[in-house]
Amino acid sequence: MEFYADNILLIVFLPVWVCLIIISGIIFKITESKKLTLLLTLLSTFTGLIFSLNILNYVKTNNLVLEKNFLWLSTGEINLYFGVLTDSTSAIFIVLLMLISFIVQLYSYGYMKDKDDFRKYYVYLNFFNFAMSGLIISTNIFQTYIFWELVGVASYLLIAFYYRREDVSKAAKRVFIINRIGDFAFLSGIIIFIWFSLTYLNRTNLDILMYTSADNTVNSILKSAYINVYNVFCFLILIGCFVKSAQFPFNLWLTDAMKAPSPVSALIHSATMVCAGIYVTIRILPLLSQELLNLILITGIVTAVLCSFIAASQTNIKKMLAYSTSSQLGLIFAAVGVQAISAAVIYLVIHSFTKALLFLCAGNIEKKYNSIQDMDVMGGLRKQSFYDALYWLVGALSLSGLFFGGFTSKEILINTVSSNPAVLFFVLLTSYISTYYIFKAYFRIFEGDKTILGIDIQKSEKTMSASIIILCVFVIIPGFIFKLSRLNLLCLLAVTICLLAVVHAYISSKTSKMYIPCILQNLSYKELYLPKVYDFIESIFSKAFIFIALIEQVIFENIVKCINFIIRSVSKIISKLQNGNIQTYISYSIFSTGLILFALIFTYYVTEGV
Amino acid sequence: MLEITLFHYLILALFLFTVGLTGIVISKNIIKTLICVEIVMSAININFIAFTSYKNYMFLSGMIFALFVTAISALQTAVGLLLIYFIYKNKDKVVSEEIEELKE
Amino acid sequence: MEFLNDIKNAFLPELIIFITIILNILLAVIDGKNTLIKAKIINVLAVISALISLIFLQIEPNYYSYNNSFVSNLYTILFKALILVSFLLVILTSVKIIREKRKKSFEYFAVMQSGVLGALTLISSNDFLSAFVSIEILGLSCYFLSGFRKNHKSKEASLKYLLTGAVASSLFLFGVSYIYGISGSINFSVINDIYLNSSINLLFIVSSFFILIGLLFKIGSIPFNNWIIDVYEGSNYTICAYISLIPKMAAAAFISRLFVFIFNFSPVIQLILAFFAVISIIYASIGAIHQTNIKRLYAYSSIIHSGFILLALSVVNVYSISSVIFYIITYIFMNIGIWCASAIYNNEYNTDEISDYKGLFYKNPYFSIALIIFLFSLAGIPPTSGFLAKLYIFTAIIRGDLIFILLLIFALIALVISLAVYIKVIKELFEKSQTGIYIKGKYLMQKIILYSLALITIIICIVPDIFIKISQIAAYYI
Repeated sequence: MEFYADNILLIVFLPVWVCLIIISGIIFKITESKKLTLLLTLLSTFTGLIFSLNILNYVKTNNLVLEKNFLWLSTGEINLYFGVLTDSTSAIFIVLLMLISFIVQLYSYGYMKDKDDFRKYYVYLNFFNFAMSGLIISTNIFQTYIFWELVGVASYLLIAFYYRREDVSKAAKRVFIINRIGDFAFLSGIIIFIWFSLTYLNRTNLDILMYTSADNTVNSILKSAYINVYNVFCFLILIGCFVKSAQFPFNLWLTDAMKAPSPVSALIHSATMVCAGIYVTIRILPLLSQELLNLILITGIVTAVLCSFIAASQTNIKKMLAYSTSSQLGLIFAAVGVQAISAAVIYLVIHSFTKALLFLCAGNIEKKYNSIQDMDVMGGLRKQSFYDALYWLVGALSLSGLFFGGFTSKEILINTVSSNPAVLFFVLLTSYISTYYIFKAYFRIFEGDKTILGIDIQKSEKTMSASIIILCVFVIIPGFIFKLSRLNLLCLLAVTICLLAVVHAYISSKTSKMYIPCILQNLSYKELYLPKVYDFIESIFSKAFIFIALIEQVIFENIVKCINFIIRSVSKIISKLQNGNIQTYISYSIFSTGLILFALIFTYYVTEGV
Repeated sequence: MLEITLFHYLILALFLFTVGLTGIVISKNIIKTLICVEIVMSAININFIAFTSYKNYMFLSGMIFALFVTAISALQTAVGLLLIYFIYKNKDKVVSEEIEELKE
Repeated sequence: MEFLNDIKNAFLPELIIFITIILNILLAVIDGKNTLIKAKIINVLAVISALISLIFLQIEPNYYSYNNSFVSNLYTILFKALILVSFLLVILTSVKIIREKRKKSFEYFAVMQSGVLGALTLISSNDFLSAFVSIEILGLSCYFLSGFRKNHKSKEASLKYLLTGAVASSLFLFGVSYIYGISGSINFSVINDIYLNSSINLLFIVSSFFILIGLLFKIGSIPFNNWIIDVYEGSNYTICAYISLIPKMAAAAFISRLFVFIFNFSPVIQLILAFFAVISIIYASIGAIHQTNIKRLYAYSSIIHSGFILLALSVVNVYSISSVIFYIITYIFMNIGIWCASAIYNNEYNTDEISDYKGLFYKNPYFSIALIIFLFSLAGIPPTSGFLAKLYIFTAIIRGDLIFILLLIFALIALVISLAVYIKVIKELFEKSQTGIYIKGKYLMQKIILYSLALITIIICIVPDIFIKISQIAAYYI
């Protein structure tokens, strides 16, 4: 058992190894086989899965926290470590990552089989595996930051996969820039922490915020004394987490990220990368003061309500699912905000499975409809492919919390946040709206009589179906681990509300009306006008940049030209000094020696006054 | 009659040093340059020996140093003459204008 | 008896090198069929055994020998190890190239070994006599080596080296004679004791100035910088690698010891050294832009590096000397790297011009990548070790006085200018060439060394801890 825990680094570096193999395969043109690429990738992910399951078992049964650190760089005052942290939280996250990675890699084979850049895609997928697992096992916030950036890079590479289309590359650029804001806040937080520790705590040999020591007594004493700086530092890191997990003011990037291929959306933007924010929040939880916890709670609730509200009237499937992701993550943040960690983690895991299932189904539908993503033109798909309807139904039931895994997790969540009635109200509101939109989508796409002429609905690829079926199993099973004794009034209330929402959705899909005031519908459809706000800010900045570029062109270029000219002419003079005559060289030396000697004697006499 | 003190020897050595350095810089013939190197080394020898004779130090390090300086400057001259031989073989003249090939 | 005792405790590597010189000369007499291979094997074995024998030297107290004229402590042992390592790399690089140019060239190894002997004794010398003799041994070997090629340019370069060296030695001796005159002894420890409690006068400062000027010749900075450019152009590539490393390292070690024992009584000398260092950095950075010959470019870059080493030495404290040692460690690898790479290319096409390196990336990509790594390391770009070494030097200099920080700013501006120089070479590698010349032959040993040095350059940047610890310990023991 310990073998797996000792070799946890294998999980992290095996994808790198596979990456290098695939890259050398591309460079050296060894073989064009796609199956080999898939096999290698699946092998590495599967090994990771086995290892991480064993590690989870080991750590959970013995209730251990294993940590190994390696000193990378040590200036006199700061120590930078790289290490491996294995406790139950990180083990659960790694299992989640490996499982969803495995399923998405299997699905991608069928989805991307006829594309040219197949092997490049798998290189990026492996790189993402490496970056994310590195982030999960990091022991301190500096290492987290490094892998945070790597995950951002991997996400950009995958979003911009179809970079030859202009809208895709613009969207990918915007995603990366908005993520940079979060990274900048994260880095500023770290720097402020270092500055604070070095000046106020007078520590030498400072270890940058190891997670296992984040809650020791020294920190709690200092927290009470210097609470403001701790608040600032934690607030900045929380901003980073919010950006990464697409919470309310920063959720714009998630819709832009939907330009990625569907399996990428399933992997990154629903199941794993957006969990990085939650993971880091859980890790720094001991440092947070009550105000910041309230902030997390409020942001989570606001995001949950607003994003589900926006999702309710979207017609593009992936956009709807993106906003749905934001809102569910908002619920998870709210759970973290009331310090119900286990409820949050369970909800996160089940939500990842569910959302991945929904995204993969969306991918299936998209392939069937030849890359159309607009729900308004779809309809009646159930008659042509029964299984797609079944999978979507499973996912919808789980997301809404009516049945299967979602039921278990939502029930736990509601029970833990139910202490505050306002929070409970918003959570129930969110679950109502979530049920509404996901079932409206179901009725829209699969029920009804509309069929589009001329679409050749072929059978899905085998791997695509296989992976979806595996995911379904993982969504269904947790539903049956439910203990009947935990049924209470709140559960029944939640279930009733969701059934009401299903009815509302059915009526809505039949009549294409939402039955809410027009203003609200308009706000929801236009996504609360947030994209317009961002576009406006962006246009201001771009005008400023054009102005600055003009200044640079006129002034700085001329300055640079002048400096260039001066240096080149001085250089010519200096090389002319080497005229090859040995006596000239010696005379230069003696002359400069004499000059400095006279200067020396002169200053000596001036200062000594002899 | 002036008494010959340490100071005179030092001035002599300084003068010879300057003469030698000027000779190195000015002379066109390379062999003259090597001779002027020897003049500089002799000046330094005078310096060492003068210091040893006039000051009663415990160790006679100066004189021993002078011996070493003489020997090693002879070595330097030997290597210099070897190189002059090769240059003479190539160019038939050993003046400093002939050895200006390595320039910008 | 004491003689043997001294050798056992402090001079094992010198003894081994001395025996190797004799063996090399004997090989010249034997002149069999495979003399060169035998010579190579003997030399490599000798250097490796000299390295191993360093372990057996006595470390703990400073070991003075031969009437206090030599010293042996951890500092000198580390420098000796560095010199032997760089010498080993030079030998390993040079064999095939020498074999193709000259058939019977046993004196190549013998003279190189004698130069190394001079360098080793210079590092551990504790008084001026042994220092002078060591400087001359080292110098004479280098004068001879730079004239190794058979054309006129090589002899001319060697003559220039000799004459400049003679002038510099004479200035050095002038300073030594006056210091002997004032203090009565030529031993560092005795001079240190004499001046510890009394005041210094102008003559002392002037003579220290002359000593420093004489040593600046060896390390290659202003005021004696003109020989470097011509001598590097006229010599062999592998000999250039030797000349650019061994005298520089030995002189750097010696200058730092001088600073700790003799020059620390007047801060004026520190200022003068810093001034010369910065002037040489600026001069070489600007002068290198106009060059089209790759050897002259490397010569200017060698002056830049000497400038940085001297700038760090002029701030005399433990931190700065340890930064110098770390800089020298990284400098060995990148320097031998670039000379080895250019030597391979020159062996194919007998060309020195930068423009002949055009298009090399498309034909020999791995070779070009190694060359690019070394050039980046010379320029000080992360993630190579040159960047880390320069960073260490900068942090060491900042802990000095304000004037050093001002000079550092000039040095940094010059560093940026020197970047253009290296990028020029890299740009040539990437241009498409019409002639289509590239490296065809098999250079197994050289390529192994090249790639391993490139790897080491990057690895030092990733895990520098061990080397930094070594340099700090050694600097503490000065």
